Amino acid sequence: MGAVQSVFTEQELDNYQALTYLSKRAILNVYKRFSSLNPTAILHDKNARMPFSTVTDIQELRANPFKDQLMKVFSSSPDGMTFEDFLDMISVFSDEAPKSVKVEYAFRIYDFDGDDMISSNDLKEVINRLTGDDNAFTEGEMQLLIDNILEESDLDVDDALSFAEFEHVISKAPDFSSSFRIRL
Amino acid sequence: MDESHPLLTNTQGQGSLRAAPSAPDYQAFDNQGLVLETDLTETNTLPSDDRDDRGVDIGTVPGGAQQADISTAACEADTVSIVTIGEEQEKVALGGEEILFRLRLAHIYGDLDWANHLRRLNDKSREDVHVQILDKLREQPISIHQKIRLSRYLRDRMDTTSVSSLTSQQARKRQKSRRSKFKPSVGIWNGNIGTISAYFGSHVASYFVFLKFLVYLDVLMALLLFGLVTLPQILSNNNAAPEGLSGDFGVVSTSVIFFGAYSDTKWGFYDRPLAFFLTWAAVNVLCFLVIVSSMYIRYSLSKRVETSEDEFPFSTTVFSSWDHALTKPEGAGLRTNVIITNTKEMVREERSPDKSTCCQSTGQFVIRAVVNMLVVAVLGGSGYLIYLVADTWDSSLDIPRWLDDLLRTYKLPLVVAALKMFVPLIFDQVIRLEGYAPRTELKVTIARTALFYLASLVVFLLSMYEVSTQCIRDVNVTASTATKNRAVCCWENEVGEEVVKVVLIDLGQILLTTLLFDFLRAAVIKCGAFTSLGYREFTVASEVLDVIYGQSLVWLGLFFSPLLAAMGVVKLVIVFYFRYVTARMCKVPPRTFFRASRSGNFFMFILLINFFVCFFTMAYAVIELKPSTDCGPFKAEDHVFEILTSRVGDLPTWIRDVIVYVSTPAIVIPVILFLLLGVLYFKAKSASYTRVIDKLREQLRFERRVEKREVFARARIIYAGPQVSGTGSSPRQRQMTTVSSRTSITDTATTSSLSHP
Repeated sequence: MGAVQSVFTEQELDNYQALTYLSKRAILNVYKRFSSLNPTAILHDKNARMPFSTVTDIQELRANPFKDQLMKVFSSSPDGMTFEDFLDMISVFSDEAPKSVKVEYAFRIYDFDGDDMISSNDLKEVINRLTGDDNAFTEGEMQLLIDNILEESDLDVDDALSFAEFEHVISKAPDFSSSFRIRL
Repeated sequence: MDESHPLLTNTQGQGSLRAAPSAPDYQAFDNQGLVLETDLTETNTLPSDDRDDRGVDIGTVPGGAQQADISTAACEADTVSIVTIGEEQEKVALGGEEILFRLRLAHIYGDLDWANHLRRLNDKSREDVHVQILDKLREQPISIHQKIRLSRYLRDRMDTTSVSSLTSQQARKRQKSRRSKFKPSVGIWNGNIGTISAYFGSHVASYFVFLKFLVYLDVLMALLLFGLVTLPQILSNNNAAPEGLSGDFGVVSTSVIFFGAYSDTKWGFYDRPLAFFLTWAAVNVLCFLVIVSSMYIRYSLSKRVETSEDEFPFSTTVFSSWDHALTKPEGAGLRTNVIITNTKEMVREERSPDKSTCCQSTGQFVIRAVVNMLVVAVLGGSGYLIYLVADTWDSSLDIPRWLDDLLRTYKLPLVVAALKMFVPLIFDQVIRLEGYAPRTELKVTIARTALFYLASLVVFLLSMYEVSTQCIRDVNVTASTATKNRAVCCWENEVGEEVVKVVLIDLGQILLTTLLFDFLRAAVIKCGAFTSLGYREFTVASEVLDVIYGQSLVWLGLFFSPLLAAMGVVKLVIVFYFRYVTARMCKVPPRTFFRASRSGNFFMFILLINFFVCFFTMAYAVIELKPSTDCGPFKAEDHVFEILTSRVGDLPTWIRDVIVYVSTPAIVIPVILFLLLGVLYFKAKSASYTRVIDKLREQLRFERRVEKREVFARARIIYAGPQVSGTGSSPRQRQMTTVSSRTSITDTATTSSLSHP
């Protein structure tokens, strides 16, 4: 741990700890995992960018159907992800992160076209991802499912879910916090 | 790295990096009123202090130089902002809340010129705003990068005392939350449970977590009993078992494992019989407290979870059914299948509500009635079978003597175990005929299986009662009519032995069933034959009921065999590893699942019911039955509880009078009535709360739908002049909708209150 710890100054670690939901040990663990992706590059520059394909290759993300959205939402630039972005992601997915933070990011993850609303196209994409993309649902069934979702949660009937509506539905979902969790 | 005002180097020019997606000609609705905001040609660039490839990301101007000459009224709150826009920017300073709110939207609308806003705060509120922002900074959904910058900026401008007090406050809060969460990473089996949840999801893992809880409970009980009861007996080195005592386990029957070996005398100052009784009572009370408190904690954590489940089944399924903790591709694939099946079933239920004809529905009703009668028959039949076998044994069969002896000894446990093996299978198959929805199917099966286990326990107890009274009768009656040749009667020993036998056979049955049904099937499939058979699912509910049954046996026998808790621990450990290996190798995740969060409490509830049944039975035995006169720590008493009175000395008269008075109907009945009234009162209260919730929900819908449209209509009128009218999805309306999408519902309420001055 000593070698890893010398990468960050005390001040930096304090900053990270104050601004994320991870303990110092967890932060160093995250750093270790991240640097194992490409040790030479990280050693050279601890804020180097890793291309998305490398990051999604770690075993926690490999099987995740939303991994490209995770990359997009948490990265600061489309070229790749830095250690800080990765730390951000792990912090949001940690156990201590409050539900409000998770709901916020969940909304962004499910918003595929990035227009701050979850439209029916976004919903369609979510369902396709969840069911593995091989046409598990017929057109009619898919439409029925989307209509039902919108009927339940779209309060102002504008055919899309705004953040307020999404939050209203999801924050009371019993499994949300426990399912929105990644442990390194 | 200390820069002096690093963020405020003014450079002219359009440094806007991330323009808002739909370049509007106005920027944003303030959430406090119908105001427009644009910002002007002021950009702030950052020196590249810590190499950001984002370049000018902090403090850019969203959208460029639009200058609208519109001024609108501000509203009542003092944190209102933005008034006139013209060439100069005469902005009233934004409050801390406002800045935080904009930070949340920064990822959509380009980045917030927070440096500017912060600078413009007037001095007296600046410190407070800084503290406010810094306090809430961690929860904001902006990147760490920006957070670090912002926090550094703020800290540089706050005086050190407030900074240090804030950091210490935050550190304290963090420690408190960590302590209160108490996720014991020091616990046993955490790695195994993690692997299970990676492959099967959190629902299956909840079974293993439950096992862990029971192991902890049993270890606690075993330690208490061993330390306070068994150890003194062993150390005092006099086995008090009477000479003529013989049991089914040979030498072990007279060892400290069973009741008979405990002496009824003091050991020095240590009063052994009293310790026996009190420790047993204390262990039971402790179990009760642990279970109830665990239920309470879990319940208060889940916070009335049922609302979302029943109200938004589709949304919650789609949005929260993916378990991000699943990391293995096989597990992920299986989870996908489960999700598909679940959603398909929901969709199909939706689609064809009840298209069955009259004949079909009556047919189904008849089938269900028949099946229910069958279930009752099975339950009654198995109960009677247990009772019958306990009473008699037909030894006229032509089997070798050793087998006959074995069967005679183990007849009761074998029958119980055999029933336990087959009856749940019967229930599983029979439920398919009934044609319920899958969720209901699960619930009904669980209810029936739980009832069956409970019934078999109760019948087992009754037959034990028979055993106990028989022993007393045998000794008192002449040898010719006695069922067994007994010199001494130690019925507690016999009951204890029966319980131990059932526990052992239960363990054997679990192993056998798993080997037969799971391993064999998996081996068959892996060898290529019958691949269409498919692996068995991991049915969490029936496994849990199994484990609860085992635990109830332990509670039952604890009085008669103090080391039974330790045996229970060993059994649970074996079961854990066995199930773990089986799950990894031969099983697939279940098709339908209870919500993981709800099932934890459900298991606890069933555990509690079982505990009550066991405890009340034992309490009856302790109070009513006469302990055997030949063995055990209570042989000198007429009733077990009299050990208290005889040892502690006679209680002062007034206490005795009070106790006698309190147990008369004159007190008991009013107390019961009062409790009933209390229950009714709370039920009425909760019903009224539900009504209030429904009304609020209606109000919410109204606000979103009707009020919002009204507000937009007014905004449109004000903005574009009276020539624009009517509702249409003009681009402006789309933008307005987009823009205001982030306003929380409560803010819409204030907006609507604005429109009704």
